[in-house]
Amino acid sequence: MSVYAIRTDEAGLIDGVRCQRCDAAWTPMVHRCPWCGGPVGEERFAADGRPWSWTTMTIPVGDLEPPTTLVYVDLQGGPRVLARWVGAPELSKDLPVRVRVEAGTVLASEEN
Amino acid sequence: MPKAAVVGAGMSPFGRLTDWRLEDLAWAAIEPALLAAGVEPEEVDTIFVGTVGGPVGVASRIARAAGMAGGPAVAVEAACASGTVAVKLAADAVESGKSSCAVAIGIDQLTTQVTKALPPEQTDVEGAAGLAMPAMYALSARWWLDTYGVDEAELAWVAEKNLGNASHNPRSLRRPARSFDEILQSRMISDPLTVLQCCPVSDGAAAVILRPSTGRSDEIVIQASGVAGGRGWPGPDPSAWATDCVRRVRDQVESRLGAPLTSADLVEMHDAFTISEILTTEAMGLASPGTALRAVRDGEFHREGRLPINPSGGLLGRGHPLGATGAAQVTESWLQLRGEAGEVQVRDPRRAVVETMGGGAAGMDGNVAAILVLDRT
Repeated sequence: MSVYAIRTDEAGLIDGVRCQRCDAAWTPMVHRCPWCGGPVGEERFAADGRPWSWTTMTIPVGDLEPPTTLVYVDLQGGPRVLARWVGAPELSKDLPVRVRVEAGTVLASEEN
Repeated sequence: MPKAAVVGAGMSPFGRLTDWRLEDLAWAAIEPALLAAGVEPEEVDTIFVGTVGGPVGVASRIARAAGMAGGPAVAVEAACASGTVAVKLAADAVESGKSSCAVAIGIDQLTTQVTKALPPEQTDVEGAAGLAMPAMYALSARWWLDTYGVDEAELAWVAEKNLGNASHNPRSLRRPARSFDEILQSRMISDPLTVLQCCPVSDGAAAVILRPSTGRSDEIVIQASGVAGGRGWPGPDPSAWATDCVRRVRDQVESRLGAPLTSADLVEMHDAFTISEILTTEAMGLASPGTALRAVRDGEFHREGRLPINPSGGLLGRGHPLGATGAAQVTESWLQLRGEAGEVQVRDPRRAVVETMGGGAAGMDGNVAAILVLDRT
């Protein structure tokens, strides 16, 4: 797995940090807040949330054969993360989704 | 201190120039700029080269072959804004009195490196997920369209305008004009963006020569400029990607200028994708949030409209050899202010604004946004 990858714990929670000054949440870990420069504390974020936006690429990118659907997910109480959509339903803003990390890749699908 | 004046500018052809030597591509832009400026290469004392994919020592290689060796020759990388930042640094060097003749060159040969969409940086989390540039903008497009309740087909109006302008510009790569329907029906790249809504991968160079203003009338001076780095995104900023940095550089420049950017007679901005122009128009305060696309459709930003945006055809028309773009935008603006823009000439402009946003680092709201204000004195 890439050293740059987003990581999860055994329970599937997302490793990250929260700024102790502006309350912004970030993953993967950073040393200080990328928004305000404030100090950060480690936190684990829930893996469920709602789509912010999505798109389906119909061109190959690197090793990825099209089509590839990417979705930004606003995690509940946590940061927005980019994931590959592997779910069945059509995406919509109010669809409850869950993210997981497999071999360093963030995947998203509908909540069961 | 006198302001920096743009005394010469030039562009190479833009297109697939894979077989050109880097030095020859640069010279194709430098030579017309030197001729226009009446400057001999040995008079140049400072060189900034904006490039993303240039080789190690790119600035020195160009300086050597162009007879401008000896002074500091430094490469600048700020993604799509590399050329704009190079012009800003050259102008700052002149304005500070450290340089009496500085050259900013923008250059990239993308076709030697990629054949399709720019690949993402694999060491970035989002790059590893496969997020190519068209998809990043497509994600912003979907958000903007949903937020303001606009039909995705409407985005094609931006390409219809810019490719229409490009069809009259011999310096543009993409000609002829394309209809609204042709743009919509062109191949889908990353929905809702079709291929004619994405700037073409290309090679090119542009050069801008700056000297201290003499105070005479009819000079083209850098009246104000600014650069803002991005901050963390997605984060506290609720708006689309790469707009916070544009708003902040707008604030900087408007404060230095003592006037809003709406005082411009034309704007050359970073329309790498149709949605880029919409987001940037709003972030620059040229249209209120949610209204830029309607204003494009209504002709407000056409060449004959209230504020021409990308009368050159923009990146959608010219192509986007990353580092070359900012210097090409300045060249187009310089031609406009001199009344030498040919068929894309805007009527008697006195102020041109150049904006470029360079982004791509994961977790950042753009890497850098830069704005230059050029006035005809």
